Amino acid sequence: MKPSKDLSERALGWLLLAPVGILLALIVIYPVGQLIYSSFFTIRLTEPWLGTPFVGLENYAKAWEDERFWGALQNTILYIAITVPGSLAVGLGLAMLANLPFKRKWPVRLALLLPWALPLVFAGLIFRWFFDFKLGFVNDFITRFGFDPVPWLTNPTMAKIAICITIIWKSSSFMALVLLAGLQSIPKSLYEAAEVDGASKWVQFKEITLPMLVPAIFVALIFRTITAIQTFDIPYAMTGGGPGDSTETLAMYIHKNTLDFLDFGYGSALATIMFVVSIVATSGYLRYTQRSAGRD
Amino acid sequence: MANVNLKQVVKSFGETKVIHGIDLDIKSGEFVVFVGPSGCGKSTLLRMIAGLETTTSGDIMIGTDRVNELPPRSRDIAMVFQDYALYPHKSVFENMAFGLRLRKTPDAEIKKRVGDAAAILQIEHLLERKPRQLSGGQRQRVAMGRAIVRDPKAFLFDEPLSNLDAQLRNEMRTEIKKLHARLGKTIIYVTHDQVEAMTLADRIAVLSAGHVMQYASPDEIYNRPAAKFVAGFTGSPSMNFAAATVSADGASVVVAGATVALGYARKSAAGREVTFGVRPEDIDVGGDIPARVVVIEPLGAETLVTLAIGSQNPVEMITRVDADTKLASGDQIKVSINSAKTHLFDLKTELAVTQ
Repeated sequence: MKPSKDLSERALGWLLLAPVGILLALIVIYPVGQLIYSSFFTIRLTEPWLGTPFVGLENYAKAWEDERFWGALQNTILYIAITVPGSLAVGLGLAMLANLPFKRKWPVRLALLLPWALPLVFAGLIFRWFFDFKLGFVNDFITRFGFDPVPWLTNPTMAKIAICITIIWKSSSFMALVLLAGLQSIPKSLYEAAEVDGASKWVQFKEITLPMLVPAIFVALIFRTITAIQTFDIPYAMTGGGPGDSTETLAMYIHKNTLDFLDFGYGSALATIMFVVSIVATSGYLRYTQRSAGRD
Repeated sequence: MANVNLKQVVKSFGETKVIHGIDLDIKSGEFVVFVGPSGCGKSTLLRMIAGLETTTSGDIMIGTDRVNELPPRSRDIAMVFQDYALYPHKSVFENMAFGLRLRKTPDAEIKKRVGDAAAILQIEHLLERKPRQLSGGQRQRVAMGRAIVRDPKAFLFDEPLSNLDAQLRNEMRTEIKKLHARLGKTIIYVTHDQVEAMTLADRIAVLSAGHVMQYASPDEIYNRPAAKFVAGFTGSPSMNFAAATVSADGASVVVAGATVALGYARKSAAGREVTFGVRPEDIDVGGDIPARVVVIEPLGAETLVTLAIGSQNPVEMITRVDADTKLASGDQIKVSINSAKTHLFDLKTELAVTQ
């Protein structure tokens, strides 16, 4: 009797897993497979007479020599390198602020949630107005202190700074939410014990808050890094990739190739590269967290 | 080592007063237990001494210093928390060394002190482990070790044994008593468990609703409770109470139709209605008071018997008898009450009537 029972249990297990498996296959495995498959073909809707011939790695070779691709990749990496740590720092500050014993907690939580709930394009448009040369709030503010107005969105360097500030503003609230959950799971008695032990507030932060927040920080970093790799909406709304293509990201360049130039083969190859970059970046984090989990 | 003095200490949360002007003197090296039901303010009072709660008014003195305005770290006290509050990411050694490191103690000295404390608490083999790799009892020891290494003026224990199972709690209770004998330090210990209070304390402060009901030795608390609350809170099973009328000369009372002689006359209550109290061990089988056996609960070493005592409107009282006393529920028997161990409490104030 026993083997058949095992078998039926196993079958039941598979049966229960099946809906998720099917869903994953439909929304993840099939599209990604199709994407990688397309990247080996020339599919140019503007030149239908070419047909869709198999070209092997030609699209990837084209990317290798495409300066605009390297520029977009460089910008993407720059945004990751600045906005991931940036929003972690700002998010941690906000989380600690929100964790203070306020009489009314909901206004603080609301203020924290608002930037997160706002659609990315809205945030981009709002900040585009903020950073506007003539009408913008930022230039109005700095000229009151006697500084010259800054061409925020028309100077390549200043445009990158403006975009990074906007991304950090937009993404810090998500970081703060994740970190706030982490902060609230730290028992109050640990701080009291440290207080009695003689720890100043700074030592308490360094010796208790930070080490105990490491898992939450990792979760926040993984999510933030993935979204940073895919940065699109905010630079699209603020500068459209300009001036020139100086603020263009990889996601924007993929969008441009597929939807503006209708070059699906090349676009697919670029998207595959971005997919690989995402996998590599997150697996790095995951490996680290698994290792530290194993060490504990 | 230092004495701790509380003078008219008050704590209010907004409009709500939770500690009502408490005066306590705790001598240097004394083991004092704050005991009371949950919500009586005992933990709040301890946390005020630690500096984890502000003091609304009054003075808290540790040694000769008024510490009201000092933060916990400047009060030179150590505290053991109910949930142990060990730092989860630090090893046992680092948990114990943390306070010393913050006080810039040299490494060699830290090693020596942690080693000594670990030896006293028998946790030397655990020093490299993380708290989550320890059992409840071991964590408890580490928490005490963290307090010991600091060599503070006073130790504060906040219900340290309540997360342990019954057997471990008994073991650790003995350990704490040994530790006090060995270190001779001032200890203030909070518990809701009257057994812990009775066994550990040099003096017990029984608290109720933010007032100290009685502050005395365990013997005094048990044998001469100052109030009905104190009498009912100590002993297991607790004291039996019944409505009674004091005779005209104050030398006896009538309880459920039966006359019980008092150890000494209470003239002040002559002829009045009072609450009569007697502990289970002070009711003996054999005598002239009629009683009916209601329930029998054998505990092995002894047996608890619930009796309906008296001739008119009998009142239920619990007594302890030898395990080999042969009784069955429904038996009609006679009992006597030890006059010297009788207590009277005022109906209104619930304070002991002693004159």
